[in-house]
Amino acid sequence: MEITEAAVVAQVLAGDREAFRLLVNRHTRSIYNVAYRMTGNQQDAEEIVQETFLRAYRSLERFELRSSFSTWLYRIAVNRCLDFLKAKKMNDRYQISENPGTEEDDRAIQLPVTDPGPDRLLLSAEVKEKIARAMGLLTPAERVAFTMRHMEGKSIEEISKTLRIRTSAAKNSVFRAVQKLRQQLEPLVIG
Amino acid sequence: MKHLTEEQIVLHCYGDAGDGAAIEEHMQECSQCREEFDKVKVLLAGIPAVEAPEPPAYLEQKVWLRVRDQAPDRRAVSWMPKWAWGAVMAVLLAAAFLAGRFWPRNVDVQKPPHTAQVSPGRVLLVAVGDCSMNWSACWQRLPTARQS
Repeated sequence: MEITEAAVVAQVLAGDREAFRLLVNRHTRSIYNVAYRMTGNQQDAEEIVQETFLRAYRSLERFELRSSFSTWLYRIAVNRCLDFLKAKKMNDRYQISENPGTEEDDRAIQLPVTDPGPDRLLLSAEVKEKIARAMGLLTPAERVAFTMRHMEGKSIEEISKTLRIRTSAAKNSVFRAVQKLRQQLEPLVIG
Repeated sequence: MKHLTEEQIVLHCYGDAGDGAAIEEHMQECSQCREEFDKVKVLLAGIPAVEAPEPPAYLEQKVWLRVRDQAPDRRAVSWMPKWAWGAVMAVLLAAAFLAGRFWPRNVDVQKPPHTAQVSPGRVLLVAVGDCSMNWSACWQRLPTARQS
C-alpha cells in the first residue's frame, strides 16, 4: 500500500528526517520542469529545486495536512522562481548598462518566414530563441504569471493565490505579458 | 460602435474576461475585433510550453544531501513540544525570582571604618611606587642570590 504524503509529512514532523527523502524523490522532476519553464536555464532550475525543498523542509510545520503537498510545494517553487528572476533582473540591468545597444541590435533581426506551418509561426530554433528572448523582456511577475497561465494551464485564481496578489493584478500581469510578446513576436507571424 | 479593448481580447483568449458572452456577441458583429482576436489566438498558439530537458543525473540525490546537510534535525528539538519549552522557561524564571526574593541576605555587613575619598590618580601613584620599590628590592637581592 502506498503511503500518503500527509503521513510522510507527519513522520518528518515527528523527527524522521529520512522520510523527507521520499517526497524529494517523488517531486523533484515536476519542480525542475516548473523552474526550467520559468527561468529557461538548467543550472538556475537546479538551484531553485534545491532551494524549494530546503524551504519546504524548514517550513513543514506550516503545511496543512489536509491540503495537497504537491500544490504547496508548487507554490513555494513558483515564489522561489519569482525571487530568483527579480534578483537576476537587477543583475542583468546592471550588466546591460555596461553594453548599451547590444540587445537592440539583436531585436532588430527579422527572420525570413518561408514555412507556413499549422500555427503559421515558424518554430525553428531561431524563433524559439526569439520567444525566449521576448520572455526575457517581461518583468518577473509577468513572466511567472504568463508561464503559469499559458504553459501550466493554471487558473487566474490559482495564480493570485500562489503569488498572493489580487485576481485583477494576476489578470493584468498576464495581459501585460501577452501585450509585450505581441510586440516582439507578431512580425514573425505569417499574415 | 465601441470596440473591444486589447485587454478584453487577450483575456478572452484564455476565457478570463469576465464578460465572455458580451465579447462573443460583439465579435459576431464586429469583424475588426474578430480579426484582432484571431491574431492574438494564432500568436498564443505559436508559443509552445517550454519542454524542460532531462534533469541532471542524481538531482534527487543532490537535493536530498543538501536538505540533510543544511536543514536542522527535528529529532534534536522535537522530543519536547514547543509549549513545554515555554513552560520550562516560565518555571525557571519563577524559581529565579523566588530565590532572589527569599534568599537570606547578609544585612549587617559592616562598613569599613574609614571610607576616605581617594582620587584615582593617587591610587595609581601609590601602586607605581610599590611596584618600583619591589623591583629595586629584587634588583638588590639578585647578586646575593647568584652567589649563593
